[in-house]
Amino acid sequence: MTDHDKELQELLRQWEAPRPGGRLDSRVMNSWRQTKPRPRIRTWLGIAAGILLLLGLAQSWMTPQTTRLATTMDAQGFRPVPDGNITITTLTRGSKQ
Amino acid sequence: MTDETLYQRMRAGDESAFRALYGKYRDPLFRFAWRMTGSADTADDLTHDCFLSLLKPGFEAQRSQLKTYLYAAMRNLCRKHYRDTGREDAADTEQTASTAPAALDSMISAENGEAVRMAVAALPAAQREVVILFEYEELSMEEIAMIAGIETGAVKSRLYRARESLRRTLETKLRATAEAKK
Repeated sequence: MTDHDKELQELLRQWEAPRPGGRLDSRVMNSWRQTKPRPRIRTWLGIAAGILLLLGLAQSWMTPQTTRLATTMDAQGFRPVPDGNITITTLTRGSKQ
Repeated sequence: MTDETLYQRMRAGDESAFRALYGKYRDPLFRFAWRMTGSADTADDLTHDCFLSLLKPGFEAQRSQLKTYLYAAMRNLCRKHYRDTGREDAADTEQTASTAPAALDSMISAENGEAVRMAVAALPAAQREVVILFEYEELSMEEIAMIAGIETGAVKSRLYRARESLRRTLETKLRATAEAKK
């Protein structure tokens, strides 16, 4: 920058700007709050789906498992056939055993 | 946090992100609008509109910086103001009442400031905005070129012509300042 430029610049800097008006801040923030973007519907649906999934997983972890394949049987009262003689009886609908 | 990150958060509704951007750019944008229009009330209105325009889609981080985007938005608002009013506003003449005699330096500075204001206002709009952005907002030639939508060479050319005009207009003041320093 030349000396001429510096002198001009010093003079130009004497034109000082005021500060913004006192009400500008509140005016801008009020307008922002009235018009600010809201979270989109899809975002809320995604959040809801995630919560439901977590609840479902939590419930399955907490519920005791009662359905199991039987690997043992209670043999109380079991009597084997004494002589190995097996009788096959055919049952039809309505017949009494 | 970068301006672009703050912008994304603001667009998602984050008030603290909006406050951060507002706090950073309020004064520079107000000053620019005030020097372009000559009116503090108009500059207030345009600053308000400029920040609210951020809520509309338009800024793309891949194409520009948020800083130049905001200045360009303010430039467009100022131009629209000229079209709507058919003229620039006359400078505010409100003076703060003071009972104490002003110091001589303050009086001289205020006088010089007024002379500069008139000299800058007399420039063509294209030169005026370049001078204001370069001398007062200290933006680079490249940033000014993006804001004004012109080549960097055109910015240099306009700035050179503007400075020549200002030197001629303010010759008396420049001479007085140089004399005072001796």
